[in-house]
Order: sequence, then C-alpha cells, then structure tokens
Amino acid sequence: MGKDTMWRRYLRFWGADPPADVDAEIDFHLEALVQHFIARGMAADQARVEAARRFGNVARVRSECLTVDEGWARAAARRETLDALSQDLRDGIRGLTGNPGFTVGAALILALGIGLNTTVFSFNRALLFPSLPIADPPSLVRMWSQNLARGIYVEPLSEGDSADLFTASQSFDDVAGYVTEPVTLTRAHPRGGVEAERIPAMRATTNLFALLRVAPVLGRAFQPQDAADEASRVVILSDRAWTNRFGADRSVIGRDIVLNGRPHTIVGVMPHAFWFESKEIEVWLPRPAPRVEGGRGARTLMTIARLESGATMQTAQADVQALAQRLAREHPQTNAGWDILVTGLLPLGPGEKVFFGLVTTLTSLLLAAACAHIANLLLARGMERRGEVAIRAALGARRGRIMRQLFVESVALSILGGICSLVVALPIIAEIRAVLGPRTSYLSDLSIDGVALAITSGLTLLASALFGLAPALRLSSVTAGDAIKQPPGGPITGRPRRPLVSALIGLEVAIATVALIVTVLYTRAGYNILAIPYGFESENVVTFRLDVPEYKYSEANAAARVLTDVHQRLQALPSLAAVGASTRLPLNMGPGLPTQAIMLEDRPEVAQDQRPWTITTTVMPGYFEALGIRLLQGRTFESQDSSEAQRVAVISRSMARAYWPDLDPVGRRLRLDGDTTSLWRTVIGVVDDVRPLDPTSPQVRQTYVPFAQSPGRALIYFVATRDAPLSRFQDVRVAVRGVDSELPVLDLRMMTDVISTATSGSDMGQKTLRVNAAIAALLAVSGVYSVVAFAVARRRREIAIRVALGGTRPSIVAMLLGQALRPALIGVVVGLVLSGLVSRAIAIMLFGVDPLDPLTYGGTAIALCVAAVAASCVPALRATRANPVSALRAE
Amino acid sequence: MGETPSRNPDLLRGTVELLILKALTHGRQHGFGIARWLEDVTSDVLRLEEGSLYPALHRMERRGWVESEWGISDNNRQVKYYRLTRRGREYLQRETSGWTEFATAVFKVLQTT
Repeated sequence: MGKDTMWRRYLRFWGADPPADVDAEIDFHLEALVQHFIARGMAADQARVEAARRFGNVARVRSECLTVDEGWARAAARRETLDALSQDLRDGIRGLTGNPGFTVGAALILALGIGLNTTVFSFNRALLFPSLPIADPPSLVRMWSQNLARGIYVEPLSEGDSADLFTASQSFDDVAGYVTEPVTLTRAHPRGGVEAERIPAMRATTNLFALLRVAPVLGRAFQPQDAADEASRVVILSDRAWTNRFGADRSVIGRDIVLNGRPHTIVGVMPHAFWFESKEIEVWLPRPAPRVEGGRGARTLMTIARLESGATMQTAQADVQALAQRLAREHPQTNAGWDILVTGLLPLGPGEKVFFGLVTTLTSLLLAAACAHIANLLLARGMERRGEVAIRAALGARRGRIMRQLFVESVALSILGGICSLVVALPIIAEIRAVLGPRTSYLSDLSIDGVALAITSGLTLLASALFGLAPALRLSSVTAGDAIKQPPGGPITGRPRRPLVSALIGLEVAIATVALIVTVLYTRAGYNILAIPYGFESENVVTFRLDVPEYKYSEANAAARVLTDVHQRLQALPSLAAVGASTRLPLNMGPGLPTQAIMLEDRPEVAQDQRPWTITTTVMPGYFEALGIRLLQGRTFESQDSSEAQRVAVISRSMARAYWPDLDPVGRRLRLDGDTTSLWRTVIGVVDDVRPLDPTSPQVRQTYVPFAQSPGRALIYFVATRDAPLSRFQDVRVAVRGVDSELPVLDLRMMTDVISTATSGSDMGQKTLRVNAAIAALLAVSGVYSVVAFAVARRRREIAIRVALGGTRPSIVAMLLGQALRPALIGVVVGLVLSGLVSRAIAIMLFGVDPLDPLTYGGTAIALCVAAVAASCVPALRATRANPVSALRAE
Repeated sequence: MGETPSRNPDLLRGTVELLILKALTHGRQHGFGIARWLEDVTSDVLRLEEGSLYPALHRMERRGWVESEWGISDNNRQVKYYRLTRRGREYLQRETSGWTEFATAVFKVLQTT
C-alpha cells in the first residue's frame, strides 16, 4: 500500500510525466559527473566527453527507463480502476451488511418473488412448449369424449367414434389411435423353466410413428399390413428394451420374442431419445385402424392427430363438434349428450386451467409487488442517506462514483435474491414433478428453466436497478450547499408529494387483497372437500392388482377362477379381517369414470340424452366390509350370488335418491346398457356413497354388481388387516403364488398411500396459494409501515414544531395516518373488485363456497386495514413522543 | 559485495541489481551517489556504464525492492533519491547468501584445477 500511495502521490505531484522525470535524473547524473571530473583536475571539455563515456548511451537508458515506467503507469491505472470497482463493491456490501434487517428482508422478498415466478414460468413453459422427441408438438392434438352432464371432462373415444374421425375429419393431416396396456414377456429361464414378466406396451395404429414423424433407427416402422394380417405378428422395441434386454445387439431384427404367449418378430428399434405417452413403454405392437363396427359404448381408444397446416385447435374443435352432433343424432343410444373435445397434448381440466392461470397471475403480481416493495425500501433508504452522500460529495467524491455505489448496492441485492430464489424454486419443482408424475410423462423433464430464471432475475435486476438509480440520481445532484441549507428532514412547509410511493403502496395492498381473498376461499373449499367423508376406510388396508394374462388362461372362466381362488385363499387367512376386490379403486383417479346408461323397470322410456345413468363397478363379496363402506339397507353380496343365481346389484345412496327418491329401492330391477334385454338385475341393498376425488363431480350414482355374474380378467384387491399391515404384504404374495407362481402382484401398497398420492395435487396448489398470500400480506403491511416511517422521518421538524406549538398528539397521529392509509384504502377497494372477478372465474373450484362470500371479503378488507393502521401507528406515535427540542436541534 | 573475487565484468551483468541494493543499505542515495560508491568499494575494477544503473533502478522500483522520492542534493539540485524497502532488504539477504555459496563453490573448483 505504501508503495502505491507513494507512486500515486508522486504521479499526481509531478503531473504524471515520466519522460520529464527520467530526463531530470539523467541530466543530474551527467552534470554531477562533469563536476566530478572537473574536481579531479580535468578541463571542462574533456570532463564532458569523459562523463558521456562513463554514462553510456543516454538515448538507450532513457528509452529503457521509460519502457519500465510506462508499463508501470498503465498497470497502475488499471489497478486504480480495479481498486475503485472493488471499493464500490466493498462499499455496496458494507452498505448491505451494515443494515442486515433491510438486506435480509429485501433478499427474502426477492428470493420468494423470483423463486415462485421461476417455478411457475418453468411449469408453464414445460406445459406450453414441452420438449418432446416429436416433430412440431404444437400441431399435435388429442381428441376426447366429453359428457359434462355426467361430469365427465375427458375420456378416450369409442372405436366407432374414432373410426368416423379417421374418415370424416377435415382439419387433420392424419389421425392415430392407441391404447397403453401391459403385455407379458416370456423367456426361457437360463436355469430351466419359464420366466414371465409384465412389461409396459402400446398398441397403436400403424401410422402412429409417421404421424409423430419419427422413424426407427434400426429396421422399419409398422406397415398397414402388419395390423391387417393376424398371422404376421410384429413388434418394435424401445431403445431401452433393446439395450437392457438385447444388449443393443444390431442383429436383433428378425428375431422372435414371446409376448402374451405368442411369438412376435422384431422389425424395428426406436431412437434412444424417442418416447411417447410414457418413457416406460418397452414395446409397440400394431393394431388395426378403428372400425365403425367396433362399437360406440366403450370409450377406451386414445386418439391423437396432426393438424393440417392452416388448421388451429379452434377450427378443429368446430370441425369435430359438427361430427359429434351428427353422431349424437345417428346413434342416440350411445352418443346423445356426448361431445368431442380437442386438446393439446396435456389435457387440463377446466378448473385446472383456471387454477394454473390464477397461480401464474398471482405469482406475477407477487413479483411486481416484491419489486415495488424493494423500490420503496431503496427510495426510503436513499433519502435517509442524503446527509452521507452530501458529505461525500463535499469531500470530492465524483457524482458518477456515488451513483455507481448506490447502483452496485441494488444489483448486489438482486443477485443475492436470485441466488436465494433457487432455494425456493427447487423444492417446488420437485413437488410438481412428484404430483404430475403419475398423470403424464410430458412434464417429466420439468426442471428449473434457465430461461425463466434468467428472465425473472433480469426483470428484478432491471426493476431494482431503475429504482436504485432514481434516488441515486436525485441524491447525486445534492450539493454540499443544499445539504446544509436544507436539513435532512426536508422543508418544513408543504405536503410532500410522492405519487410514485403512494401508487406502489396501493398496488401492494391491492395484490395482497386479491391473494388473501382467493386463498381464503380456496382453503375453505379445500376444508369443505376434506370434511366430506370418502365413504370408505383406508387405514390398515393393503391393496394390489392382479391382471390374468390371456395367453396363459385363454378361457374367460379360467381367468375368473384364478381371481376367485386368490380371493378365497386370502379370506382363509386369520390375520386378515376382510378381503374384497373390485374393478377400480374407490377414488376416482382418472380424468373421469366411464358412465353407463341404464334402464329402470318401473320407469317409462325417456328421451335418449336424459336417460338414467350410473357408474358400474364389479366387486367380489367382502368389498364393502374390507373398505368399511356402510350398508344402509338390504344386504351386500354373498357367495350365493353366483352365476347361476338371480342377477343382483347393490346401489349407492345417491343413486337410490336420484331414481327412487321416496321409494324403497330394494327389490326394484334395472338393466345395464349392453345387458341382454331379458336380463334384469334386482337391487338387493343400498350402501353409502363413495365420493369421487373431485366432489364437485356428480359421479356418485354407483351400481355394484358381483364378480361371479360379471367375470373379468383383472381385479384390484383390498385387504383389511387386523395388525401391522406392512407384514401382510408377504401373505399376499404367498397367497398369489399358491394359485399361480408366475402371476405378478402389481401395485402392492397401502391404501393410505394411494389417497395421499391422489390428493397431493390440490395440496400443492393450496400450499402455493398460501405462501403467495402470506408474502403478499407481509409486503403490504411492511409497505404501509415503511411509508409512514419514512414520512415521519422526513417530517420530524414539522412534527416537533406542531408539538411545540401545542398540537395534540392524536391530531398529529391522525395527520400522519391519513397519508399512508389513503393509498392503502384505495388498494383494498381495488383488490376487492379484482377478487370478485377472479373468484367468479374459479367458482368451479370453490366447492361449497360462495365466490363472493361477504365474510371472507369483509374480513380480509378489515384485517388488512387494521394491519395497515397498526403498521402506521408505530412510527407515528414514536414521532410524537420525541422531545420537540431535541428533534429540532438534531438538524 | 565489494570483496567479490571475480575479475571478469561479464559475470557481473546480472548482479548490478544486487550491487545497487547493497549500496542502498547505507541509506537513501541517488543514482550518481550509487555509481560513486561502487567506484570506491570496487577500487574502480567494475567499470560499468553508469547509465545502466537507471533502467535497473526503475525496474527494481517497479518490483518494490526500492522506492524513490524527490529531494534536494548537496548542491541544491532537484534529484531523485532511492531507498531500500523491506522487500528489497529481504531479497538482498537471500541473494547474498546464495551468491556467496555459489562463489565459494566456484572458487573451490578453480583452486583444485
């Protein structure tokens, strides 16, 4: 340091002129040498010659010295710039660390604002622009059946409807259909015997890969005759299956593998990056194009299409709408009341769409509020530092330097906030992935979006830089004279006009109002939903699934026998309290359950689209007992309800109330759509409703039929245990192995886990909203506080004079409050109006809550006003308590 | 350093800096004074061009071994004085012992030959 300062002082003192310095040194030496030789008796001329000889080449010495000095001067200049910069940084950081409350608060606000926004934008980007290994995803659409009267938002298409779409559609380049269903892969075990494994598979029309514009890396894609010819069975492998099962052997093409008990020839291998619907899919099998004869009652075929160039989702929707109406006229039995819906790749429910929009809007507003808040803090802090800045300016600090320091502070703050924001964003992203994982693979790549983070951080940086600069500009023009003439408290007279600050406060309060009201409404709706009993017990219930393969038990009876045997073996175990099974989980996990039209014996025929309907579930005896579903009337199924016995059914309470409002339903008869005309089922009992996951859906008209009378190949088992349920997993495996050692036990887990997975989506939404609302409220209150504190600080002298002149404390407090509360009140009013609009839009999600619930609106408004008054009172009261003399003298 | 045993000036080219440092151990000095001191202690054996002291001094100042200040000479002229810094003194000590070892070794070799 000593050296540097010496050098700098020297440079400054000598006007930083190294050549002159070097010349002076050399001249001195030469002259001294001359004097030296003269003193030794030389003549002056001779002494001069001798001196020059002894000194050597003057020009070379001079240039060498200058080279050294100039290099040094450049380095010094560079160092000085760096020093100044690092000084700015140090000052900036000292400014921040010197006021830890401000810094932590501001960084926290920014972290939350940026973090939440990054998350939401990452999610939206992933949703709107999924990165798929498929060409041009935006031109891909899906088609769904929709029946809003039955509460079915999306359901796959029926074979018949799909066939009509394939032929009659105008808007599509190509339409493909597929179903995802596991197949059983059998291989000879190296140690003898046969090994069977269920692997995820997709059966697709042969044009699927062409539609997705993806070609196999090895072999060929499907050809139309692959599906037409029953004898030629072909399969295409995923890269994963190829690598894991065949060691990426290129000679695999043409080899046979046994799927569902029949040999299939491998004709192709898909690229490594390719996946569609699920990354788990290992093999693709061809399926015939849908046929009109395929029927319209069962809606199971997933349908995807490529929009023609020029067609949009809207024109396609209009196009299929016309088709749906025609189908409803031509096939009223199956199609009355059914629409066809066109969606993007990821179908969101109507509520979900609004919900995501809402969360997006609220978080964006939150970021705006956070920026506004930081701006306020910076402005207020800037004014506090007028004195400091004026003194520094008086001491010779350059204007640019002062601005730079204030700017550096703002930027450092934003960067700090940006870094901390990752702490907020990462866990939320992880949670979203966990929630959406089971639904779709399209967001499985969801991660912190670099672009989103950059944009949000950039915006924040810009905002805080601008707001940081505003006071910097204002302050840097303060001269020492001004600072002396005008005390930091500002002029005594005149109402300070700060429309910017007031507007920011109003904005913060308005945002807080909306966030709070929406959150309260949504949370109350959540509690309302929770308050509705599921209608079944999940504690100590173990569930698993069995899927009896067709290749091994081609006879339907044999398959049903396997399922029944497993049921009986489990029932025989003393450790189990009750064992039941059904064709579906009691919670509505999918987008919608398939409903079925029914005919009631005691009802005259009604119009096709107003026909009674129900959701049918096939169950094993013991189902209601295992899940604790209450029997209200009559009896449940018993072993006597066999295939030979009288056809029977159990119905749910809502079903009974809907179709036999004041009558006893037991003993009445109904016929399911698809049953033969002579087949009437007699109602033998009424059980309590099992509510679907979304309680707003009217799908509680449930009909249960016994497995023995409607046998199938797959069942989900429910085992109520008497004790430690986890140890019962082994019992289940043993029982199944006892019936068929090759039959895989699928999805073995606790029922409570099933529920928590199913409900985690809405949990997450509630959490996000609550965090949003809490931050917004905090911002609003501290915003009000800071504006009053700031106003008070500015007007200390005025207050002191008022007090000295006999102004009463209440009058002064009222004056100060008025200033802060006016923008706050305007904010509340604006917020109330906005909330009304917002909640009406999400009314569909506000189960059992009035979107304009006066209690919520009034309570929120009052709470925010009270908080604002409290926040204002603290600094206002403190100001009036100050000794007027010291307040005046301080300046 | 005056007792350096060599008579060949070529050997000393890199050691000018060392000699300057040694000269400055007696207190601040200007370039002319350093030249005179060298002349005295080496009994005029080392006839270096005195101008070459200056690039060396400037380099050494840049390295932080010496520092300079302007002062008034005995004959009332503005002149730049150089002064040894702590780093310069440390460097001198280190190099002196290294040099002595080296010289002793060479001397021994020359004796035995």
